[in-house]
Amino acid sequence: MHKLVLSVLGKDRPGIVAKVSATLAALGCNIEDCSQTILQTEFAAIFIISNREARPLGEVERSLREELAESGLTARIKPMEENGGNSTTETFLPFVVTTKGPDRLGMIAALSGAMAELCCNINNFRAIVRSGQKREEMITIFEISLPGTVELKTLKERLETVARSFALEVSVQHSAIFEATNKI
Amino acid sequence: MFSDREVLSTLEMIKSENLDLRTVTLGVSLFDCCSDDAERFQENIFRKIVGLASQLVGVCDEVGEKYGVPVVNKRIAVSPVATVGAPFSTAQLVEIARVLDRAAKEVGVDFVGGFTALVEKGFTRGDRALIEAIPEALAVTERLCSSVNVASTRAGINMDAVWLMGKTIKRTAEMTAARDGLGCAKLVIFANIPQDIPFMAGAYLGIGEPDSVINVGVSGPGVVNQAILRARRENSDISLGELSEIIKRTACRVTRVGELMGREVAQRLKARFGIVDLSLAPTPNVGDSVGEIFQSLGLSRIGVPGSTAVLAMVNDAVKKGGAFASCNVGGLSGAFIPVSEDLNIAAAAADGYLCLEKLEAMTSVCSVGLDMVALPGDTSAETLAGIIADEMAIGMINKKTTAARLIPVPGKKAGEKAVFGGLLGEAVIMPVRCNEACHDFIKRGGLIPAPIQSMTN
Repeated sequence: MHKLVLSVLGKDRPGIVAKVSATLAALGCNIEDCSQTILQTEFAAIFIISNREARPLGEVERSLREELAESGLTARIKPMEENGGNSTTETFLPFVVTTKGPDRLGMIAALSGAMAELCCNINNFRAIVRSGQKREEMITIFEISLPGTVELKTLKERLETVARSFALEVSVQHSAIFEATNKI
Repeated sequence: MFSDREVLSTLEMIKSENLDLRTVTLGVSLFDCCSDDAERFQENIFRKIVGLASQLVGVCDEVGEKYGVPVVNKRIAVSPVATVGAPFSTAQLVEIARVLDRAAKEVGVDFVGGFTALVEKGFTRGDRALIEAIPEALAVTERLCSSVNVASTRAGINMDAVWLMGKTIKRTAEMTAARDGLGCAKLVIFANIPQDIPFMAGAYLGIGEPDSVINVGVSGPGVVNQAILRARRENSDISLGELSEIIKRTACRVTRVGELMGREVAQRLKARFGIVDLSLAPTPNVGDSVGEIFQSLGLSRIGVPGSTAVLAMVNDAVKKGGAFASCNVGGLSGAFIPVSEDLNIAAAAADGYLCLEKLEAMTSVCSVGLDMVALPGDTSAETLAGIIADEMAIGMINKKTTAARLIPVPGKKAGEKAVFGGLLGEAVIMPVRCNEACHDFIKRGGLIPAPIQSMTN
């Protein structure tokens, strides 16, 4: 059975998930996996769905767009790639990279660029603005997969160089330390 | 996926609240090094320690880097030297102390413990030779630590050993007089000594322990203190029961850090993982103090009325949190109150809030005992023995570990300052009441019998 990936964006309000899921059910599409988040006033969600009645992609897309446009939501749909797009057998180690410091243009590009150069996949990323003692500061949290072929020291050195140029404090820690202290 | 709060609270513990792995201690059994030839014995122990511990510092640093939690001290604990070195003379045991010190330097650890005798019921010839060797051994080495167990709940108190240790402390202080009696800071007298303490100066590898074992000591008084302060900010009416729960939960989180890292160090060194000892062990740094916890719980200073109750609550909550976090909790696990090693406690003693008698009362509910207490240099050996006997009695009767690490600072009087340096800190010398008042009792010697185990009222 073909799987489809649906993304939905729009201003957050009650009833968005109900509207999307009802529309999908009417099209015979089953939701297999879903993640949603709200950033400030904006809603975003990604759905993995199975097209049980094998309707043409164009039909599903048209119906969803029409139904959701009424609610001010933007929808995009595409076929899901085999193996979820990640077919490598290489081993990865889970690390958490955290930075703290002033919010400056280009810092996230520089940090994520350094990770990309070392083939680190970002599995989860958040940026939070927090009021510090003197001024507002930006905290970023990247949960990444570090390839087994890349030394931790190399990643740390690379990120510390970036952090210095943006006056950030950076920490790189194996995720097990967060597991140990929080998940009991 | 972790929540922002989870990531940030863990980071806060490490970066701002001084959470660290205070010590990773590799236990090394010396039983298979035994020989009646002193030189061969020395070669054997040097080879075995260096063989097993050569990677210890490097591995600890790598694991610390991986988790972002510093491993502050790397140490070695060996089998009790009085037992494995039983055939040797005092002079030969001093040479063995030098070899242990050299091995510690060779592998880059900061302390090696186990210059130890277990004499709660009586002495062997080796025990006597070792105790006689302690003053010189501690004077000629830098990294050696020594301990003597003189009492237990099952055996009673060996008062001959107590008296002997009073004299040994005096001699040790005299032999390190130029450094304010620093040798005594590396000598602990115990009741009910645990076999798996990772903390110095009491660490040794017990006779029932495996050939090589990793025991870790986690600290974190700053983490506990900040958790209490946060809870009080959020709820100004919070009760002691609720605060105890917060201490327990915090202790649990901290213990899990120790277990995670200790297991990894053990696996990489191909040693057994032994225990994690969660002890609120202060350092002479602001924000890393047990004394501050007393103030956060509502006392003006440690030592005022209410201090024993606070310590009882904190010590118990720490133990409960540790026991919930891991089934491999051991060592001392609780709250330490070492006077010179804690800025806040040292200041309370200097300002007169904390006297020797109150400190002794508090040791009935803390996890160790009279720790790093600087006393006037003219305190007699008999009085030191009397103080030790009191401390041992608390441990014997209450079925708990107690210890005495007393430093009669040569040439200095009560109110003057003794400086030991580094983690050992500095402290104003506490006055001793009624010096010379227990000589007849101490010199009587013999064994104070073990207490009855029924009729516990």
